[in-house]
Amino acid sequence: MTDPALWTLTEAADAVAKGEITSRGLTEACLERIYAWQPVVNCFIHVEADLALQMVDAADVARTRGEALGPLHGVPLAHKDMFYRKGVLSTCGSKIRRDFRPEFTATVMERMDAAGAVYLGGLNMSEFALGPTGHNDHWGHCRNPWNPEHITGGSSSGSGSATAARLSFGALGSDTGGSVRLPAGANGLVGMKITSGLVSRHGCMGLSFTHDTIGPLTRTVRDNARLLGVIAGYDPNDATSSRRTAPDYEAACAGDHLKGLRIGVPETYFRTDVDPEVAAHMDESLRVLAELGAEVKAVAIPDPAANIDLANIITACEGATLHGHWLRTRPQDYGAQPRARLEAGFAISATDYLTALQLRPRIIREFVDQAFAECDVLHAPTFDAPIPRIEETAIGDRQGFAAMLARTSHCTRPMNYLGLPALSIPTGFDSNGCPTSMQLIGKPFAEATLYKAGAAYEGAAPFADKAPTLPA
Amino acid sequence: MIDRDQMQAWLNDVQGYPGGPETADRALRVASRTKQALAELVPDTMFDTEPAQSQAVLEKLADD
Repeated sequence: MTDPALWTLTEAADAVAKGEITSRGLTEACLERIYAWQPVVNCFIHVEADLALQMVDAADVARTRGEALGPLHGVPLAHKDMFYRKGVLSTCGSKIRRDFRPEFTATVMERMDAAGAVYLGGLNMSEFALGPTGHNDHWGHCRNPWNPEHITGGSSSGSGSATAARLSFGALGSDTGGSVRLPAGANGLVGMKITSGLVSRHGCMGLSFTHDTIGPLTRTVRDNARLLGVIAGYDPNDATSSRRTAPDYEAACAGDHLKGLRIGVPETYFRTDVDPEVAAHMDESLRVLAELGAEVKAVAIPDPAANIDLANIITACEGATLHGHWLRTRPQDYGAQPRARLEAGFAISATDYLTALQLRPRIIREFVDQAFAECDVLHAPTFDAPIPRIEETAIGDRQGFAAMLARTSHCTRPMNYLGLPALSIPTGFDSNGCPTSMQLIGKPFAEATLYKAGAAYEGAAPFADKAPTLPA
Repeated sequence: MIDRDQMQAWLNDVQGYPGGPETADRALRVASRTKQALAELVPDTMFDTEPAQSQAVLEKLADD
């Protein structure tokens, strides 16, 4: 029998449901890999083995009694360490919350529990979700299992690293400027940045009220669709959550052709300064998509560069507001880079902040009307350069840090201001052995369309069955 | 635009944030960039607009 930890999430869930393996067997397989890989990749902040083993026993009893099983029944999952569970450690990747145990549980965690998932522990992340690389001064840098000298991407660094190393069958992350898509891209995973409002943020650590979104990172598109199906939907505890009924995302993954789908390749911004090796992978992915029947065409889009300035204004002000008390009373407890980014919010006036917010509906409308006038989906890189090494991006708050951050999230950040969904999908490996990836970007609430395109592509150019090997 | 000393005074005295000259320099760059970005994007008037329209626009565009 192959190592069950190597199965996809949906394969694992199906195997538990059919009684081919117990949840305990599945979870012990993951725990064994966690203890082997953790010294190499540092993707867990805390492993909740005792809690997990209590949950698996309850899951296995439920199955033998013939009780109705949820879509994640008995499947062990770890998540970015910022989704609150009552009484369980939730560090937010910080020194300040090193011992924080919330008094209530996040809606997404309640929905995971209701679907039968087992909680493995809290995953490494950039401090307070600030940082696109995965560096963390307090808990140690998270490392990429494909090449541990290279970054994982952030801020959901551990979600990317743990899922790629087959320590968890998937993971939730948060995306405020690329924090699901960047670690998905750097670790060869599928990562969904959802439409703003699709998933409740109640009980999730906040960074930016306007831009924060919660989304899954998985090895396959179908796995991703299953996780999103579990967490999507209105929550009375989050007034910003949409009342729209979520479609059957997994059903959207069934097709094997893309006839009738129009894929637009933006003529500007995303491909203007792209590395040649990444560009070759983008071109090849377009060839595959066309071979599947999609119509691929160049399209003009409004320049997203302006959105980045507006996004920075909003995130800085909202972040400084959330962190105001700690920034004033214990600034020394922040890492240099998160502190430098947050304090920027103190220099922006309230009227400028509100103006950046007021511009948003008009800019969203103009972007969607123009960019999707002749296509259904936009195609862009996730990273427009090969995944950098940890050392070369460890610059703290030294001169040039803002440009480095902007460069890293160049292709992902515009979609947060625009509120649009974007799916990151692996497209191959670069000469360093690190993954390359593309984004498929859709109209508001078009996640199912992105899953359809992603699943067809994945079927024609599969990378999900390739796993990293533990360095000797 | 205010100078570095004024920005440091703003951060220390008004915002209550213990930043030094380096922080003030960074803050000045942020403030300058903010003004520049908005100057390019803001129309003559922002009357009859409000931030919460963003979610309504996303919902409406999804159905168009």
